[in-house]
Amino acid sequence: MILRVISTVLTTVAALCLLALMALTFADVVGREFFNKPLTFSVELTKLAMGLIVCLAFGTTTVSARHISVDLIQSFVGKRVSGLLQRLSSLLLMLFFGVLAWGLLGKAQQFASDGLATQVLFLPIAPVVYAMSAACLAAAAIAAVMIVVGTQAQSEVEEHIQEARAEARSHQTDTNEA
Amino acid sequence: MDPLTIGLIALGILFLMLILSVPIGVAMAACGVLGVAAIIGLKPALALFGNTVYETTANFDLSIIPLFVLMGSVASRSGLSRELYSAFNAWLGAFRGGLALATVGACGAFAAICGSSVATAATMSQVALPEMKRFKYADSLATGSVAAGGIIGILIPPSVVLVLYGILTETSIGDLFIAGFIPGILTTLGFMLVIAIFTRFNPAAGPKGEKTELREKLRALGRTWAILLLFLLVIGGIYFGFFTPTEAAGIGAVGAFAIAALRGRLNMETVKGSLLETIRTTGMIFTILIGALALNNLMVFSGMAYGLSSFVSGLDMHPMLVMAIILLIYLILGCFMDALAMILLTVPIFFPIVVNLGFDPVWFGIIVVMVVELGLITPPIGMNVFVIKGMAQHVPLQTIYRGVIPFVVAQIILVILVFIFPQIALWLPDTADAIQDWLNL
Repeated sequence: MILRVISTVLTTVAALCLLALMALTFADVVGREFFNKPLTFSVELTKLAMGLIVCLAFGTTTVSARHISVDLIQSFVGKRVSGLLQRLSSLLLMLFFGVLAWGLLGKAQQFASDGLATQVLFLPIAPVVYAMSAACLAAAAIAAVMIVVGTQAQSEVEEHIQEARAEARSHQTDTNEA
Repeated sequence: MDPLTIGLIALGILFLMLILSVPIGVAMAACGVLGVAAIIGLKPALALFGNTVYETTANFDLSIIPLFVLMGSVASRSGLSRELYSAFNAWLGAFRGGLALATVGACGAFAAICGSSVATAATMSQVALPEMKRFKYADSLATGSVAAGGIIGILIPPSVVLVLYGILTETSIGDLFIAGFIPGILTTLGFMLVIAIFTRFNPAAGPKGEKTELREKLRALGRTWAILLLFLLVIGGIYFGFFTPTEAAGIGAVGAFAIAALRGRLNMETVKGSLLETIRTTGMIFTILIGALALNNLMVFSGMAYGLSSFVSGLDMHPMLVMAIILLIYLILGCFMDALAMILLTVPIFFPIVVNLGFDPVWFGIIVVMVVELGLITPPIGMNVFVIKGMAQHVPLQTIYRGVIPFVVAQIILVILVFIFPQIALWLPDTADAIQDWLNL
């Protein structure tokens, strides 16, 4: 439950950043090619948006069990061992994102004390890096919960199948209405 | 302990972790960081890793990844697959095995706006499988052609795997995209040839479909204008140097949304679904990318990158033989590993060897992608085959794998051709360079 709430928040913010990133890139190219007015600040904003999107995405990827692994062993071992291996993976994911959060925190503190700002808009960079660090910490927390409760997420294959079925159904209703 | 030994031990631990199904990115990062720590100390190693993480995430050039994933993800929800299929069906359906030909053709065209093989296979199967069932196609041919058609997605630009290869090896992504185009078309044609030969000897497996009037043929073709426009905009823009691949990704994503809107498919569900899928995939890719870069650091610090390539050149083997062995390793690994993860895991190891032997980085990227994409349809783990199995549950897994065999053979022949004639991949990027020079004059 708490996992759902955290990951929904992370995903929503990441989605908004992603849409903003798309609009920014588009506007930059259109401005340059057609109006001869490139957005001078697009590079620095893109960088910051990317940092946020990627770090916010880690939690969502983890909760939906989208990290890729070699699953060969799963078909040879029983349910118990497979569950244990899953918990081991969650533990390592927790450590991984923990180290990421810690490393980014160090970066943020360094940027804050240097007073580092972007080159065109003079936006302070540190707050964004603090947010990136917090997002990684949230991903680590999600992995920590998953050590205890395990994963219940659908696999990627299952999801693609379901989506394709939904698409076929919506086509069915389209043609029926027509 | 000397750095080389540390490096080798770290690779051994990495292998063990992968066997225990630890997420690939995490396993690579752990071995990379701890290995470097054993050489230069824990504190500098962590500082180095922190830098790698920041430089990889807050990165302008890498914005290409979420944007291209978003483009494909919106496109596969916009119902475009149905239009593509009916256009190809109108032109090819009346031939023997026509529906299967149309499937492969539509997969190739869909690949031009979507960089994911599994998504291509899933969205095409729900359109093509019911049609082929209606015309009593053999299950093996029907499922085999969709599963195989899906792998074209990884080669024809935009391709996420080629983007990652380019980033890891500092090879031009634009050149890679343009180089993948002709091999991608040849794969499509090769697969069509397979179907033609197969149904010639086995006419009952793929009966002829309905004939279509010329007027209807043209109309069906006309309905695919949006896809053609989007592809020309994205790839044409890169080819002529109007914009960078990163910018092309932004344009492509906006274009995919526009097409979905024009077709009345842009509802809350589509938007939410494609954004969610993009974000999940982004998190997955960057986890592996960070791991691969950490492992790359270890390869450099331990001197393994240099040691390995001087070891191989000391063997005094013919470069072509070395390359053949590398490709064979990819072919075997591909049976067990995801294509994207495999590229990120192995390229730091093999790339220095390949460059040292004087091979072209763009050509190597294309040929590796052609080999690893086979992994999507070969047993025991073939993602595309699993998706098809989910869409056609009455068909046994063995039947799908059997249906895929002729396509695998065709792809291997094509790999050998690109191996012998590198120009197949390199000719188009060379002309692009010439044209861009000419435009700049």
